[in-house]
Amino acid sequence: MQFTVFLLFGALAVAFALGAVAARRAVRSVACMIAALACLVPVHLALAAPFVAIAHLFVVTGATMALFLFAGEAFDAGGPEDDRLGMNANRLAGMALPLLFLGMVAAPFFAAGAAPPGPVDADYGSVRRMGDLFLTRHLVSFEAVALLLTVAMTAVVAFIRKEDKP
Amino acid sequence: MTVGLSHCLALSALLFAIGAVGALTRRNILVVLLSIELMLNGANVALLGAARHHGGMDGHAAALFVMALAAAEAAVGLALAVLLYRRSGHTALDAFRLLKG
Repeated sequence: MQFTVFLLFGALAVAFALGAVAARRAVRSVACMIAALACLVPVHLALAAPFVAIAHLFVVTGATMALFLFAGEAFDAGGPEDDRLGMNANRLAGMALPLLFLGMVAAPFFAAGAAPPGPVDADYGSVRRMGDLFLTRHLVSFEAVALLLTVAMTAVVAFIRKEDKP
Repeated sequence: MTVGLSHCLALSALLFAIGAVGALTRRNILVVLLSIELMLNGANVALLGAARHHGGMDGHAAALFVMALAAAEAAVGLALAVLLYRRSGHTALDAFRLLKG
């Protein structure tokens, strides 16, 4: 069952991701991206990560993509733009480098095979375990992320304030 | 059949590669930011798959940190995109060729 869910929603996520990258209009890109990210929620659940799946649904698929949707609607008001790259070498490099990356990943994939994962505890992926982790081993990282978000928020306000000056 | 580490790595690599193609070949700043978001989510799948395979939960914590990083990147990136749109009237990254203050 878990494998079927992983396979089905993984394939859908890849298909929608292709649509997001290929769409001409920004709003269509954002719509496809929302669908791709929503498809990743069952994938996370299939990997026994319910807390991460819910955080992904609310933070990434919900809040972050709402920002992108508003921006996409505003930018698309004047119609689609010519989004093609001017230099063919750049486009060629853009296609070749990811293919090279896929080739590098394919080697360990075929070497490792599809080994089943080991057994885990009953509360694996639970909120309690996540809380224990964040307040013990990853406390410094947790605080650093809070600092990063504060700096990002301050940077956004600084950008907009600077633009308001005459 | 169960979900193995190699399945997770394959899905992760596909998402990352699609995101890399988008980030390197498109010039609309919004699509480039979306592509970077896709690459980060591809990395998240790999982290969760590795965590499940080894039975630890450090990968879950790392995935949440990546989500926070993605949110910060989206906020700053969209602020830059709005600035770009206000100044030049379009969202092509060519307008960032001159970064004068």
